Amino acid sequence: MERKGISRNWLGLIVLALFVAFPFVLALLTGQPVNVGTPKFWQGMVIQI
Amino acid sequence: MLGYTGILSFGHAMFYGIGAYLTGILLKYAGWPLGSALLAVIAAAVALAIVISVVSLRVRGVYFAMATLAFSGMFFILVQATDLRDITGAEDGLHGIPTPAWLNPTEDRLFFYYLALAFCLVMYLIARRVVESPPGRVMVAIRENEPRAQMIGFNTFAYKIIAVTLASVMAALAGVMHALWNLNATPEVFSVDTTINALLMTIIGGVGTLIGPMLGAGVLQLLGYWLNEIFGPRWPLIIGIVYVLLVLFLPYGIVGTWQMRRNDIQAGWRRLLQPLRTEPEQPVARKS
Repeated sequence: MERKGISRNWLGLIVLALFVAFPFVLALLTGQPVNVGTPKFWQGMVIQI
Repeated sequence: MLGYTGILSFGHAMFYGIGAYLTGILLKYAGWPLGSALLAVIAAAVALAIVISVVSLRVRGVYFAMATLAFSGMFFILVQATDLRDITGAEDGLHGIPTPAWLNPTEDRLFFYYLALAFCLVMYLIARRVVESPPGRVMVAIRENEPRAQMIGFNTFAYKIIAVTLASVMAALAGVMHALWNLNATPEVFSVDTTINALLMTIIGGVGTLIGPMLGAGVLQLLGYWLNEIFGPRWPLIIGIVYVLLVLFLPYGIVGTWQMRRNDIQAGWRRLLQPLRTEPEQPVARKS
């Protein structure tokens, strides 16, 4: 049953994982801490969406 | 509400605004804890949605939209009334809404980010659960052919009230998030612009889909940001042209058009591969 649910929603789970990792990926790319500068700005942008 | 039950409302900003204002008033003046304020917002949204539905759902289509617009306009005027300046802040709105330190978006943006993500996920799952449930199917039946749904024996009026109430509670909770994020609530949250923006997000993303409005919100927000960066104060003109192009070329919204094209492509592949899948006919032995 669980396996069926995962296989049915795999795209949604990938998108969710991307959003969870988004601040840290951005921090890694910009070299800034998660709660400062560009990562903080883009977190705000996603929150507004 | 629009995509699954076919009810167009021009006054949904009213619930959004009530969520924002009630949160602000209860936190700032009444000193309520956030949890209690949240429950009060839900209760107020349910009560108001039922009252407005019972009154307005007697009429259909654009007449219902006009009735909800009138209710929304009433609240828009009410929050700007100078008589209520001590409570609502009149034209200035409510500012400096106190929030718990752990929830302050300025101090800990990351926590608020995950809170907003969790909120979005929970709302999506609730909406999905509803539309995939038997009452959700009835709502789709109402959208497609209400007299037929009535003839089958469903009380369509009750189902429409449920749809409006559910959508109103969601809008009110979004208003709570607005108040917690901006730490203010201004009369603009009640304006028609807020409703129109939500409708545009739905239309651009795809009416009748759950992912569509979320995608539409993302497109509009990012377009607004980038066009503002490129064109400066003229960006609303450009975004208007983009809206027209999107409606012309993606008439069912991004997700709706993609789903239609996906089905066409799959149907095309099936037609192409059908001769290969069917077994060749056995030759019939001829009698000499």
